[in-house]
Amino acid sequence: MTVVIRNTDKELFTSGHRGCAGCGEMTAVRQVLMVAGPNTIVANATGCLEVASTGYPETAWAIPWIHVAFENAAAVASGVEAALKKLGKKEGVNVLAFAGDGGTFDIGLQALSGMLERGHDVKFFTFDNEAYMNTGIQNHRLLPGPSEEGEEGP
Amino acid sequence: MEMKEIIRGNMATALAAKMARVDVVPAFPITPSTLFPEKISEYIANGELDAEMILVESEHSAISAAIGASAAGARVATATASQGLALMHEVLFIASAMRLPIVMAIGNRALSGPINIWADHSDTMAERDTGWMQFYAENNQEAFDLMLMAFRIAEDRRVLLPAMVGLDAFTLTHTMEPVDYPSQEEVDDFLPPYQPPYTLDVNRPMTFGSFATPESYMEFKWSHTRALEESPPVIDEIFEEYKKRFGREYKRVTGYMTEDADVIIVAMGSVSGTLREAVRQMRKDGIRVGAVKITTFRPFPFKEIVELCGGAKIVAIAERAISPGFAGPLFGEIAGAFINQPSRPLISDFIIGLGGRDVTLKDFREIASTALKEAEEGRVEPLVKWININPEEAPPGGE
Repeated sequence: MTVVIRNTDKELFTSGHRGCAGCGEMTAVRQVLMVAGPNTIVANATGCLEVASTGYPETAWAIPWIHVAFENAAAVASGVEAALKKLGKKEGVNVLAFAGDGGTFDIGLQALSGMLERGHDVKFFTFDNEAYMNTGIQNHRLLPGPSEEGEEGP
Repeated sequence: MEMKEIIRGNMATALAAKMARVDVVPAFPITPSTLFPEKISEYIANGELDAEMILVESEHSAISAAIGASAAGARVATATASQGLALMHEVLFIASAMRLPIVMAIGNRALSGPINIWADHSDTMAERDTGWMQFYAENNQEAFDLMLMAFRIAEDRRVLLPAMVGLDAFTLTHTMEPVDYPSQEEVDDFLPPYQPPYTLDVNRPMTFGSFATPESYMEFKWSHTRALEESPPVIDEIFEEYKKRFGREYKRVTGYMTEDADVIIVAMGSVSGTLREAVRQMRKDGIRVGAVKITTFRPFPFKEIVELCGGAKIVAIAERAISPGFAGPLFGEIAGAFINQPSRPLISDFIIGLGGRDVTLKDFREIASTALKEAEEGRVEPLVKWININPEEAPPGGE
């Protein structure tokens, strides 16, 4: 797969956020937005990314961005996309959703299932670090599960 | 030009949403509100309404999609009831905190358990602190009018808050009643297209729903609360304009024969008509009784309640909800309205019509006579009386 990183005049996910040094999620988001470009709206699940990037009154997002709760990024993105369609503003605009692996496959699975079945024009990005990391490495049900050394995942 | 149709309450709220030209309707079926999304879907299929319907997989997603759509600049309506409203709970706070004027019809229905699909107000009472406005309809005409006015009030730049319009399960949602409604042209004139002050717009990027620390959280809450506190004059203004345009009068709280009343019975929703009839009949028997109907529960009409009920010996609250371990929720609000008054009536609480149990003229007679006896004795003991209850039939509890 070829990824074309566009030359944008400005960063769409800017510096100054509170992501830990070397955090993979912040780098991934920055690169996704470099590809997606400025005509992009993001719906974000609760998690590290939302906490680290939007401490009021600051924001790292140079594109329209919305966060509602943990399990519903797919439903929020569905609503954004449907509204843009109805208002004639969808043309050329990307609607993206960002969630962690828990916010995608565990607590977020139902909303994601609905969004996929309805066929919304939304691209859903999962940052898979294999546990609920924002709260401190708790287990969830994405298979294969986090495995200890010497153990096989299910 | 006024038109008239004989329709169910759910059709009245759907008709109001159609005439409001809603853009997006995310909805999930639940008894007794299902006819709302069915009707909207029919309007879209018939070409009578140009809107996007989102067939979500739960009420949690219905309100989440409503937030996304409203933040993107759409006029949004949905409908739910009971468990569906409870499932939305955590998201309701976020819709109002984002100041999104979503309008939601609620087929007021009892909460489980045990599961029950009939009328009471426990579902919306459980959401009273979510920062939404709450209106309660007495009949299908009110359901239509309040639903239509809710868009205008919610979208007013001085308010910018979501609104619930409650209509009692089955008594209103499924009952056919004549409803007058204006022409589309008149509605368009009353309710211009939604002009959101802030949207998710790629030409003007904004962050919605950011993380707030102790340094800013209280200011958000304060600002949101202030918007509700300052909304009554706007609501009154729009009620007044509606009356001028369409001839039907609305008040946040309405009194009936309260002036010289010894006992005033306060109620909300569809029992209000029965209550007024009971008052008429009791007046014929020489009982000095009055009635008060609360239409706007949030913002709560503190001042108006005191003005209407302040002269009575006793206020009898007849409410279709219970806060176990306390009293009915309305008791707390009305007692609060009087607490700093130099003189105040006794306040007595009656629980009626839970889970759709019929509320009759006889029940209101019993409430009035009990309350008058309490007034005579000068004490309200016990505070909470359950009307039409059969303790012998109650299921066994613990030892």
